Amino acid sequence: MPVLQADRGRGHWAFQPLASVPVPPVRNTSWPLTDIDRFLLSALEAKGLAPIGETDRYTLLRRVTFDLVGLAPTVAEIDAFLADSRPDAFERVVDRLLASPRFGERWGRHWLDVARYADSNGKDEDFTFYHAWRYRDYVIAAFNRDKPFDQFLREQIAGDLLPARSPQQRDEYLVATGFLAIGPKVLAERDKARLRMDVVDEQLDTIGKAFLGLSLGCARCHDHKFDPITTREYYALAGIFTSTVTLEGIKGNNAVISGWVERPLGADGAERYERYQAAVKKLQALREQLTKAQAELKKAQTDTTSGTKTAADTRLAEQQAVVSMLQRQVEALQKELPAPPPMCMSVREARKPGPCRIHIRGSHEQLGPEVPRGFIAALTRSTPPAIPDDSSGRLQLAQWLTTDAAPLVARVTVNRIWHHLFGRGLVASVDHFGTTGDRPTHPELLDYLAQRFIQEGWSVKKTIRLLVTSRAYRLSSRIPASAEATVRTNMQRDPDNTLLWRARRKRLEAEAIRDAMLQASDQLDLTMGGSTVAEFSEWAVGPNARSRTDPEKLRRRSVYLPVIRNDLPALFQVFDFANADVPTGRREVTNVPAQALFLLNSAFVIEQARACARILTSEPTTPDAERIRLAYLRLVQRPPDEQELSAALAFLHNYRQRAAQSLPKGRDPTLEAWTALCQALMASAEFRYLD
Amino acid sequence: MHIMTRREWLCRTACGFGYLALAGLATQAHVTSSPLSARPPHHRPRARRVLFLFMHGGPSHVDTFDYKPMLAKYDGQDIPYQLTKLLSQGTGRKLMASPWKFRQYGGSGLWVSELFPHLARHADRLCVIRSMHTDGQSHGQAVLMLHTGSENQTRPSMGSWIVYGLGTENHNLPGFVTICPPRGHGGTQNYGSAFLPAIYQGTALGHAGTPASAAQIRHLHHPYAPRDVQRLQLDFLQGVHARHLQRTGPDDQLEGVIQSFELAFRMQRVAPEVLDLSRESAATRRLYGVDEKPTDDFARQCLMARRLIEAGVRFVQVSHSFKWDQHGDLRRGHARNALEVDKPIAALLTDLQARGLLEDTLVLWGGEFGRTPMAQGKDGRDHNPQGFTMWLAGAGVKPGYAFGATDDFGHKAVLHPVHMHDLHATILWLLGLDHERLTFRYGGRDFRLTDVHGRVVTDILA
Repeated sequence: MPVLQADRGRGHWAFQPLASVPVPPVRNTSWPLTDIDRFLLSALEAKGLAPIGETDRYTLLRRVTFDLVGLAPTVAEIDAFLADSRPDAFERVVDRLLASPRFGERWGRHWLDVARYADSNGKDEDFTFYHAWRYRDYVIAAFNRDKPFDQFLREQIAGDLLPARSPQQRDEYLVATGFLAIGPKVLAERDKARLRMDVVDEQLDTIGKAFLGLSLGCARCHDHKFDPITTREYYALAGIFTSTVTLEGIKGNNAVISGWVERPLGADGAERYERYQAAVKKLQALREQLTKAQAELKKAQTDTTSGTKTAADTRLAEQQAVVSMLQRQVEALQKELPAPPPMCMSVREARKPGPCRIHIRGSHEQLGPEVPRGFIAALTRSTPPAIPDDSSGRLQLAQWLTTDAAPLVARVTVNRIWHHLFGRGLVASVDHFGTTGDRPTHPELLDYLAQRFIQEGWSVKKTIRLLVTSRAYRLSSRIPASAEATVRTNMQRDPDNTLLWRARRKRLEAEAIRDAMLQASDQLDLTMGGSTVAEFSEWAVGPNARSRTDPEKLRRRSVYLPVIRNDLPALFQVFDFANADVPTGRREVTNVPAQALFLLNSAFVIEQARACARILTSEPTTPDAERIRLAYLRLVQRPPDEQELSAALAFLHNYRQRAAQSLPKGRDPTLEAWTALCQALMASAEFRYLD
Repeated sequence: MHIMTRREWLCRTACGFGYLALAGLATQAHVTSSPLSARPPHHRPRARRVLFLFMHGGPSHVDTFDYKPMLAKYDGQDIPYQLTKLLSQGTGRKLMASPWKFRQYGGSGLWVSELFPHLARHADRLCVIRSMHTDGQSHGQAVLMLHTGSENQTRPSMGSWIVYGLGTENHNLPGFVTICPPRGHGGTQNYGSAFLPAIYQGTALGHAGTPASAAQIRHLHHPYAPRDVQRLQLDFLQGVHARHLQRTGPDDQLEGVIQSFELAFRMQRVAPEVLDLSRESAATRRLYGVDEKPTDDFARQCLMARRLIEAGVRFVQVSHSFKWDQHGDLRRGHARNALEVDKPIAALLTDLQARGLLEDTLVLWGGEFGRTPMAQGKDGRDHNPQGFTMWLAGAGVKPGYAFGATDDFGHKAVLHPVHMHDLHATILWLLGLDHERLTFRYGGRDFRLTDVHGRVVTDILA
């Protein structure tokens, strides 16, 4: 059975080597700007369809700016682009955006979705991950520097095993392995053998979905029903991670709750960590002594019955002296406690690496035969790298993924990029390239892009540039009421716009919605990196958690807000933030009343609207019409038309009057009217959709 | 009413076609079908809605509804079974008698301990499952198992599955409301929708630690603008939308946004009315124990739950916050907990019955697991997922009935064991849903609340 399955699976399109595909000919030769356009147009022409016209420059600038850096273009940027008549004005914008540090914050966040990034454990015991942010910052930097994606992959899976040229590089590599460590874990599982296998399973599932678009987890209990992954292969891979240590120690001072691996950074990190640990241990021992002495003192204080009064008093005095001495010692030690070195979440090689036994029906209590560590046969074309007995095999897994499995990894990765830019992947099921996933709408284009991606050194920035400088990227998303005949044909033959004859309207993510609000109110703090969870208690949420800063008070870019798995900020919850428990290449886009309630009533939104209103009304001589124009430019990045202008003027007039009658005393009716106007524009669909 | 004032205003400002188009849209908004529209079940339902009384922490079955005379007889002696190695430190083999007396009540003769004197009067309404067992020896796992059917995978919660299956009966309210849910032990996952569309997720009113009197839907009110002033703003916003729609051509997403604002605005009016306990008579408030110590908090939760159920909310949960975890000091802890919930729950059953709501409402009571018959320390009990008690009442279940049994000491479910998956399957069945057919396709696979398990416990069906 397994053999047959593997054979069947080899025929599946996603497991094929990359075909060398010629760029197809097109009839309308003046339309394409790039080869991508030729692939798309040829498919459209084959169905008798024709692309719609290009969008306007306001919309295009807004689209590309949000797509590349997750922020709105500023009024100055809009003016500059509108005034730039050079033929390559748009390419210049693209290059400016690709070079901006905001780019890594935007595209790094896309990867953090896939890496199920969080600053807390979630699940049963939601412990704070104090050091996860280093991985987040590593990811942002990797995208900003356009780290080749194959290298990015190797570092995340085997960074601790890669040769480093400097202590800084060693740290960078170590931080990268946070990828393996930040998953959610059922920490209070009392059966630790089971917990270890659950962690291995979570790691394999994440690697499978993130890089290969495959659900490996199914094969934990049975041969995969749809894809060519046998239980044997699953445990061959699992052996790599049972040979890797992810869990270590305990948390919450509770023997039942497992801890996780944290490793020191810095050239002298190891020694500093040792010194710190030794001091902490000493302090703990002293504290225990103190507690005991205090208990004895209490006993001595209450027990004055035995012996003479003087004897009792002496005992009391002696005991008091012991307590004071210990107290002084504790205080002294606390003062001179060395600072711990910077730490990161990571993994380490097991002391005794080795193969794993098959777990029958996934149970660690029913073990089958041992399976040598290895990889998935259906994806292996050459002799796979041999795993040495004294190492986990993660290094070899990383090699295998970027050689044998490279075609699939490249397809999955360029498809993720396509999904973010065009609103739907060429393979719509971005995390599922198996036989039950969606088939590519343009298989040749996907292979062309994957091949080019590899040839150009796995460069994400080059791929993005290639995609956004296509004609297809500039298409309009609108279907005017007076649609011409060709558009009507398109709508009849391809109502879902599968072949991309027009642009797909995209909803902004929670982060971009929040950042754009803060941007409109000039409140956005562009500080990069660093921890935002330092003040958290050991449990991020739960009965024992300390209350902490309300995330609505933070002004940093959203990518830096703490991601607490069981307690996301309200705006993230209502606007479909990624479920940080599983790799998420495609976020949901829902439309629920909770969003409307948030936009109408949240103090955060009202505060940003008021700050924006203050900016608009700061110059007393500016006419209202000009202020409205600026409001539109700031909030929806285009000027209002005549009708919108008069509607806004009428609204301001009416609202001012009503505000004067009905709002609490002390509220300035004019400021309130402008606040209401800005808030309405922030709440509008146009604010959070890219046309 | 609101439509009229808006129309008047629209006519006055006379800004053209977009606004007029909007007026039409807004009036239609509530008739268009949505993913929350009530949907026909798979078979004839016995229950239309569920009210779950969650006792977070794990109440001890052998001290409440599972009478074990042998436990008293062998008090202080070793339990004669092999025990799981996963018990907490300090849990030995020594059996500990219940500090509370049991009596039989009603025509059914159900055994109830003196911890629940008020509830005992409803003995003939209860359908007690004494043979529950579940997965997860720790709270987090067992709480997630109870709420989502999985102790270690992220799965949609029971309430979200039910709203996904049946839709809701009141469009001005969420279909699934959870009052003061736990923050730890899975937190939001316990009412989340995981991979189901977010529209099916539970709406939380406060959370554990919030006084029930302060528990409300988030962002339900503008901080200071009265309703008519906000309507003015909303009309302007809908005008912006209408113009957008006119410029870009027909679009489902935009129309969805327009509708969601109207729904939210209606919800702002309806929800506070439903949750306003001052609309209840003094007699009813007294019956539940509102404004009395120590029942006030849970009484308010129960009364809000009844009002939500009455208003057509499909799934309502109230949570007695993490209080039942008596690893020590069982006597005092359980006595205090029971005092807080006994009277309100009894009042809830009386009230539901009086209003005819018990006929089609399924009430479910229980914790994530039970407690060991063995002592932990000198006066506590440890977690026990191997055997415990939950009870149901109301729609479709046998009244005054006890089903299944644990062993002589109450350690393991031995007669007709009912796994948590089975309970889930049974709840869905009562609602007219076949747990094997209520599926959602995600990541290339069909998922269900009961994973690949679960069977309907037909013996408890009326």
